[in-house]
Amino acid sequence: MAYKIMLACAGGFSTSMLVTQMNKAAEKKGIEVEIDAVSESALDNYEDLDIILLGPQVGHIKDELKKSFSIPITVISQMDYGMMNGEKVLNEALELLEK
Amino acid sequence: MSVLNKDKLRNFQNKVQKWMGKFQRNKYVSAVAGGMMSILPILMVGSFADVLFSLNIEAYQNFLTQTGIGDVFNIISTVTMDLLSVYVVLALSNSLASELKVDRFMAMISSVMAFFLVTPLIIEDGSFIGLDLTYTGSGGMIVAMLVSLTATRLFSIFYNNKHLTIKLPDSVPEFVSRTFISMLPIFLVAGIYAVVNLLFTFTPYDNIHDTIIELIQIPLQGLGSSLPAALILVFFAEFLWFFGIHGTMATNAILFSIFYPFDVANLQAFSAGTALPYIVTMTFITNQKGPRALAYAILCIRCKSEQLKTLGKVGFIPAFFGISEPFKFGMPMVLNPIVFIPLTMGGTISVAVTYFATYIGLIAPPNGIPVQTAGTPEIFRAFLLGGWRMIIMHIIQLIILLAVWYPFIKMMDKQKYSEELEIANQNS
Repeated sequence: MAYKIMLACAGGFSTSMLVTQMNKAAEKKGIEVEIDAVSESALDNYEDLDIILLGPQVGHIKDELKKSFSIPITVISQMDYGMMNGEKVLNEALELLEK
Repeated sequence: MSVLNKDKLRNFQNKVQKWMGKFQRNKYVSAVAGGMMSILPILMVGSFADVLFSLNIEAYQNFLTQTGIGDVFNIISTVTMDLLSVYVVLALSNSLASELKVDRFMAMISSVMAFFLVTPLIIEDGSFIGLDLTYTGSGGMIVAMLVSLTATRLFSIFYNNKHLTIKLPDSVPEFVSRTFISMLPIFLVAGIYAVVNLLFTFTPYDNIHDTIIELIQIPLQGLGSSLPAALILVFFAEFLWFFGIHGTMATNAILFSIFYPFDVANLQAFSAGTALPYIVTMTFITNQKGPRALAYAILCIRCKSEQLKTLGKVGFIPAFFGISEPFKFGMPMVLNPIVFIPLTMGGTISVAVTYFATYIGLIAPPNGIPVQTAGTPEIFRAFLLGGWRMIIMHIIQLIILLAVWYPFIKMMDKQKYSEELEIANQNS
């Protein structure tokens, strides 16, 4: 079953750019994943996600989110986010999922 | 930069993030920010109707009158803009009820009821003949916020009190028992706001709306619509970015509750054809910080350092859509003492310059159309905000930003370039 990875930032704009990069990386590697981006306030509407990746600018909501989600939640590293390094972010997410 | 202790800075960053997290995740703050955001579609519909209604072309205006289409626009404008406070009550009550985890629908209807209980109606010969639109449009927004937040909170307190809810046996269908559970809480909410309304009739202002307008709204608007308040907010938002926090999102609750009503007031004046009362509105603050991301992209692409050059290319198209995150984190600007000055001053200077350009009449005050900063392409955004004059203003803003940032990015480029050379030498 394909993993469901959800990215979240303030408006879902900059994370959706990273999603494009991550999808490219996943395709290259032949991995089947479902990656999406939303604004952090819309996260509550989603169920059965496997992991949430937060943009560094909304990293401070992580603890609060942990109260409503029991899946791994992690903050994307600033440099990878800035350089839109989809491959690295995807790898790290997969690593966490397979732990 | 050895002047600043990196560990201390990081420590402070963690603290700031914690405070911000607490503030932003506060139930009332997030109910205001999220709730107000959700009425944007209504405001959009209203502003389009207003703009279409008031386009100042004679032939077009004649066409509107003759076909009766003008009346249609007028009705749309009335039920959106003149009843905006009602939508505010619904939206805020909905988002707070979901934060408090009580029956959202019941909370919303009790809030609307509470709002109308404290709002003067038009009554002639003892019978109700209509709503007083003075209090249901932009003028009633602060009361709408206060009433919906307090009514929803009160409703949830009563709702969660076992002694105040009527329990029906399990065999009763859920929607029936749900209605009965909310019965007493809504009675109590009604009683409280009826008493509040009665109490305000003893004040010199006669009702809560005029009291709030006289005692809070007018002084707040004097303060809020002034330039210093705007500059402090812009500075603060960028200051938060220095610590890696999305600044505008953090200040959203303040922007929405204090500055958003000014946009609505401007829009109403715009459609009525009267002078626009405010320069500093929410749209003004969020949009006149200048095309910052575009300035970063232009400067980075011309850098010698591979990292900055690549960043410039990666971030150029997003920059055109007003998205600056690649630069904020990729440069990085976060916790980078070199860029502290241009980061906090760039947008602030841009807002100040645009304010003066508006003040002396070179460009028009914001017409109140809620233009979104992120996701709207630069030139188009400027056009929406104020036609071709605003496009020129944004080019001026870009030049200012380039000038403010140039020396600092140059400094960083030099540093990074020599680091990259060193690494290349070591590897060869």
